[in-house]
Amino acid sequence: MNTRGNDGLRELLAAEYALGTLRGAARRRFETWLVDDADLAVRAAAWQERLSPLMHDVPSRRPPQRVWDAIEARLPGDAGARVRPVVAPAPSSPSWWDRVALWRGASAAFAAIALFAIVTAWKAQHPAAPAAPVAVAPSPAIAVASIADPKSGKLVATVLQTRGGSLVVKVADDVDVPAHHTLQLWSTADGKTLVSMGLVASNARQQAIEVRPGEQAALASAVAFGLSLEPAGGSPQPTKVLGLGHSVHAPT
Amino acid sequence: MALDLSTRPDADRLAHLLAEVSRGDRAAFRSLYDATSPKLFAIVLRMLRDEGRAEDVLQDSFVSVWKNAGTYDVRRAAPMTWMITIVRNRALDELRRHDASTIELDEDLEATLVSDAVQPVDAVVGLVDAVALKRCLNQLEGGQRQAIAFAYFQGLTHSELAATMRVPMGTVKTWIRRGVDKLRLCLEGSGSR
Repeated sequence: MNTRGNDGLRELLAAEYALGTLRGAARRRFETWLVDDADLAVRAAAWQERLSPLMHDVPSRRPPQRVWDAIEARLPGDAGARVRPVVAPAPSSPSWWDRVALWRGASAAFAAIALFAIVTAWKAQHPAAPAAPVAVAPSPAIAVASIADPKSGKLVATVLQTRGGSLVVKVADDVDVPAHHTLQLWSTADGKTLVSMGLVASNARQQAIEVRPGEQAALASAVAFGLSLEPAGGSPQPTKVLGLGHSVHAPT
Repeated sequence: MALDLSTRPDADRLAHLLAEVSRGDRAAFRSLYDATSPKLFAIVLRMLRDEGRAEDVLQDSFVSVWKNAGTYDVRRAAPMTWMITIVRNRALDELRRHDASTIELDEDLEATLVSDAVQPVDAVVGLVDAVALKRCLNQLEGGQRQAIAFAYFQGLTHSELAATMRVPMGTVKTWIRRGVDKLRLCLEGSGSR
């Protein structure tokens, strides 16, 4: 039924919708009209307002606790804890690390992609000035490793090896470190002997580890990194390895 | 056809809570529930007259509020009206499963509608609107007023109204058509809406 141009009929339908006498198929049809007929929606809302005081005198009645319990059980889990992701305000000079979304699977391929993205992002931030003799510092990243649980493939941490001989480590949010424990980073040149690179604070958003001069050689020949769970203070040998990852070197 | 909804502090608070709920704030949702569920439960109970079904409808309604709080538009309706609409729509759906032969008209309804009884203090909110509506309802013919009231309170269809009021369907429809028209004119004329 086309109600356009028939204000009287539209007003009546809106009133009967609010009243409740419009039912069944006619009610469903009216509801579809409401979606894109703004004037009709305004009329219907106005009738809801006009009639709602009819219930004014109805004495309020607190519902039983079980109603709230049932409602709460149907809300998406942890809706309060996990707010819609907030984009962190960009620092004045955003680190090229932060620009790259690295938290996906874990494989050498991903590490290579990640490294490429890091280098590209870095270059975007440091475009070579045309015809200017200013030397652009080379990309600081020379290698990256995605450390993953060998059984599940789940990403545990990402390690970036910088030209300056330091490491930047970013641990995945869901890595659980019990009290009185710490994470420890290891490198290996042959996949058998693990050399400690340093301790990693689990809740650090990203952490730079200055590799000691004695370990620089090991770092230079590293083909893979590992992350382990240790008692506080670390351990000479890995106790519980959480993940391993091959180191992918940046194209020079 | 603008409605000025800005003058009621309770509406501001509820609108604010709805905005927070739309952002996933569960504490705000709890506050909203505490503030509005007693009135909404009473409304559903009045329509369904069955505690179990009323609890189910209230539960479904609040889950719907949680999901759709982002669609609430303060320019369109007062917060409580929006929520009343949600519970009423669900209650009306629930009434589809009603056995028409068991309908009993609420005989006290007419008396309450026309009474000048003093309102309880905690019902001050909305009192002006309620008084204005009552006054305008009193200006309707009996059949018009009762058809509108039974429809609203008990969720009756045209045919159910005709059966229980013992008049032809055409009479019911005419009562409602003329009744709502007079109501609107009366309310608009009184400086209300």
